[in-house]
Amino acid sequence: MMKDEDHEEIGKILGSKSQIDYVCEVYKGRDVEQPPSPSDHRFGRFVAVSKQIEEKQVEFVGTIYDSKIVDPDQGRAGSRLSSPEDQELFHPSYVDEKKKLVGIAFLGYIESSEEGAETKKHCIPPWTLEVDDVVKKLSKEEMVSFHEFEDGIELGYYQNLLEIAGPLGKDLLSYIVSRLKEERPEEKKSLSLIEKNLEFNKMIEGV
Amino acid sequence: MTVGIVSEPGRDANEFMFLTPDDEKLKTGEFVYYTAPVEVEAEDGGTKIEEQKIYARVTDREECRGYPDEFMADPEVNPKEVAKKLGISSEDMERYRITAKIIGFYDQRLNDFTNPRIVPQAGTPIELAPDDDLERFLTNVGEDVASANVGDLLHRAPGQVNIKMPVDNFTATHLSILASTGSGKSYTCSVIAEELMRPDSRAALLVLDPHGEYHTLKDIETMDEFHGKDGYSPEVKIWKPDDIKVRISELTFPDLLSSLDQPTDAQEPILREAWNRLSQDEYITSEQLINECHRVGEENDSMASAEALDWRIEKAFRRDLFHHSRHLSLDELLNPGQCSILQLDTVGKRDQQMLVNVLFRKIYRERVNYEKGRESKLDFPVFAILEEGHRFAPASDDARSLPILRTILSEGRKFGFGVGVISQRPSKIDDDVLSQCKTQVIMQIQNPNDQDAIRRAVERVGEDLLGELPGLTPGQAIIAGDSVNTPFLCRIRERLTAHGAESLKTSQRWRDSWKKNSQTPDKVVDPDQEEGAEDREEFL
Repeated sequence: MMKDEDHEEIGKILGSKSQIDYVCEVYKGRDVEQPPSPSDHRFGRFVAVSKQIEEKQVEFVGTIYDSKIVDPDQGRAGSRLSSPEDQELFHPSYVDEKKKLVGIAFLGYIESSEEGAETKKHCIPPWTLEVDDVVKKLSKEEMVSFHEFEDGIELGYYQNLLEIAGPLGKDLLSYIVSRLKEERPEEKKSLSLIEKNLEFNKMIEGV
Repeated sequence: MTVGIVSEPGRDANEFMFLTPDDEKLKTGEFVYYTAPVEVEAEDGGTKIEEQKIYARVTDREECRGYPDEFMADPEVNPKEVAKKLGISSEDMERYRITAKIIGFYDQRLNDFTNPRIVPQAGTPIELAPDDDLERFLTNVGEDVASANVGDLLHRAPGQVNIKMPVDNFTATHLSILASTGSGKSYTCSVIAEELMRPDSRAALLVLDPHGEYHTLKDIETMDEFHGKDGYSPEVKIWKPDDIKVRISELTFPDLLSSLDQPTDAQEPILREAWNRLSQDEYITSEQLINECHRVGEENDSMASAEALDWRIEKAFRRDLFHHSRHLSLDELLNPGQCSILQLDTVGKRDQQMLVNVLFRKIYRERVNYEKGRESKLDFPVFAILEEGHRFAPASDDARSLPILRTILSEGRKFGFGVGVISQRPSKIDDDVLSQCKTQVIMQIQNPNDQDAIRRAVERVGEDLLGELPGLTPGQAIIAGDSVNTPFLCRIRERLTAHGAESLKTSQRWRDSWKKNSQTPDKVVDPDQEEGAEDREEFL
C-alpha cells in the first residue's frame, strides 16, 4: 500500500469519457499550497487515485496520456471591440478560469487487504471514480513496482492503452518501456524488442 | 482425452478439420477418434444403430494463430517472454488447424476398419486414440496367431503401443523393406528374422546375405528368449561363399545359355541337343558336356561349331559357383526352426543371380509339389530374405533370377513360399516384384525417384505419410500393407542379437594403418636373408 506522504497531489477528477478514460483538472497556484510542477503532470507520468471500496483500499493506477489547456476567455471580444450594448454589462475577469486538463488512462489497480496483502492487476478497473477524487503522482519506484510481477516486468494494459491514447499511444508506450528498461537493465533485451517494434510501427504508419 | 473440436469438413469426403491448442501431441500420423452412431450388424443378423469410435489419422497440421513476427525479431529473445510482458498468456496463444483422414470404426466381425463415410459435425469433440485400442486395432493379430513384435508406435512413448505384425500374413504375401543406406534396413530385417525364430513361429528361414551382415544372428542359438519350453532351440547355419555351389545338372538350358559367352546361332542347336541328352544325368561335368557337343557336332557335320563351344563351356563352368556334384541340399538348408544364412560377399553379381534363380526355382518346385499332393522335400512353408533386392529383380537390367522371382511373388502365396525383398533403391526394382510385396516397411528415403517408385508400388500409404519419408531418422519406419489395418509410423525395436552391419570407423582405421606403416623397422636384415631372396634371380 502506498503511503500518502510520498505523493504529491496533482489535481482532481473532472469527468470521464469511459470506464478507464478520465479527465483531471490540474491544480493551479490558488488551489493548493504547493501547486504541481510541469514535470509532475507530464506526458507519461504515472498517477494514482486512492479509494475505499467496501472493506478494501484500492489504488487506481493510470498514466497521463494527453493534455489540454482551456481558456474560456479566448474568442471573447475585449472591452474595446465590444458593442456599446455589451459594454454596459460588467464582466468579471476570466483569468482564474484558465484550466489545464490532462487525460488519464487507468490501466489497473492495487488492492490492499486489511492484513496488508497487496494484489496488483493490469486490467480495466471494475469500479468508477467520483468527480473531485484526488489524483496523486506516483514515484519512479512505485511506477516500476506496478509493472513487476513474478516473471518480471509486464505491461498487461498494452492494448488498452494503445486504444485509449490513439495516435499518441505508441509514443506513450515507447516512453514507458524506455523508463522501465532503464530501471530493469536485466530485462533490456525483451523490452528493447517491444520498444523497437513500437517505433518501427509508428514510422511505417507514417509512410 | 479431448484434444480438439471439429471446425469444418475437409477437402474430400473422408477428411475433416479440427482446432487444437496442442503444440506437441498431434503430429502428422497420430491417431484420434470421435464418436458417432453407425449401422452395425446385430446378433439376429439384422442391423442396429450403435455409437462407435470412428478413428482418424492426422494428415496435416498448420498454425492458425501464433505469435506475431515482431515478437521474433531478436533471436535471443523468446517470443513467449515478449508475449508475457504484453500481458498475453503464452499458454493459450497458439492454435493449430489439424486435418484428419477418417479410417473408420473397428469392425470386430471383419477384424478391420470400416469407413462409415460420416464426417463429424462442427463442434464434435476429438479425442486422442487410447494406446490399448491402437495396439489391438492397428495390426490384425488374433489370439492364436504368431506375431512379430517389430517395435512400437512412433507417436507414443516407447513401449506404450507395441506393434505386432501377423507372421502368417507377411510371410505368405511377401514383405518389402525399403530404405536408403544407413537408415536401418538390415537392422529391421534382423529384428524380423529374430521374431521369426522365436518359439511362436519357428520359421524355415533363408537369408541371402550379399554383404556378410547377418552372421550375428548366430547369437540366437544361445539366447534364452528364443528357446521354447517344449525343448525348441533354433539353429542358425551359415554357408560361406566357398560352400555355396550350384550343381551343373540343376541348370536349365536357358540358364546354361546365359552362362556361356555369347554362343553363335550355329552353336546353340548343338548345345541344346547335347544338353538334352545329358539332362537325365544327376551329375554333369564340363568334360561330359564338351564331349557330348563333339558327338552332336560329328553327327551333324558341324564339328567346327561344336569345338568352338569348348572354351565357352570351360570358361563358364570354371566359375566357383558351379560344381558337377556339390550343391545346396534342401534337406540341409531348410528346416523349421532353422535360419540359413548364405554369405555371398565374394560371389559375383551374375553368380548371385544364377544362385537365386536355381535355388528359388528348386524350392518353389518342391513347394508346388507338396501343395499339389505330389512327393516333395519341403512339407513346410519357407520364407526367404533377399538383401539387395534390386540386384535380383532389376527394373531395367536382365537378370536370370527375375523370372522366377516374378513367379514366386505372384504365385508363392498359394504354395507357402514367401519372400522378403530388401533394397535401398526401390526405383531399380522390377515394378511387378515390388507391387507384389503386400507388406511394406519403408524407412528414410530421400531420392525422389525412389519415392516415386514407392508411390507407384504401395497403394495404401497416403501422401501424408510418404511426405514423412525424407525426415525419418534411422530406426523409424512406415509400416503399410496387408499385415496392418492402416499405415502408421513405427519405431523399430532394438535387436536382441548384435548388429553386424556397422559402418567402418574409417578415420580410426586410417590412423591405425598410418601408425603401423610409419613404425621404424625392428631390425636390419641382410640382403641375402630377406624374404624372397631365393627368387630374386628368376625371370619374371
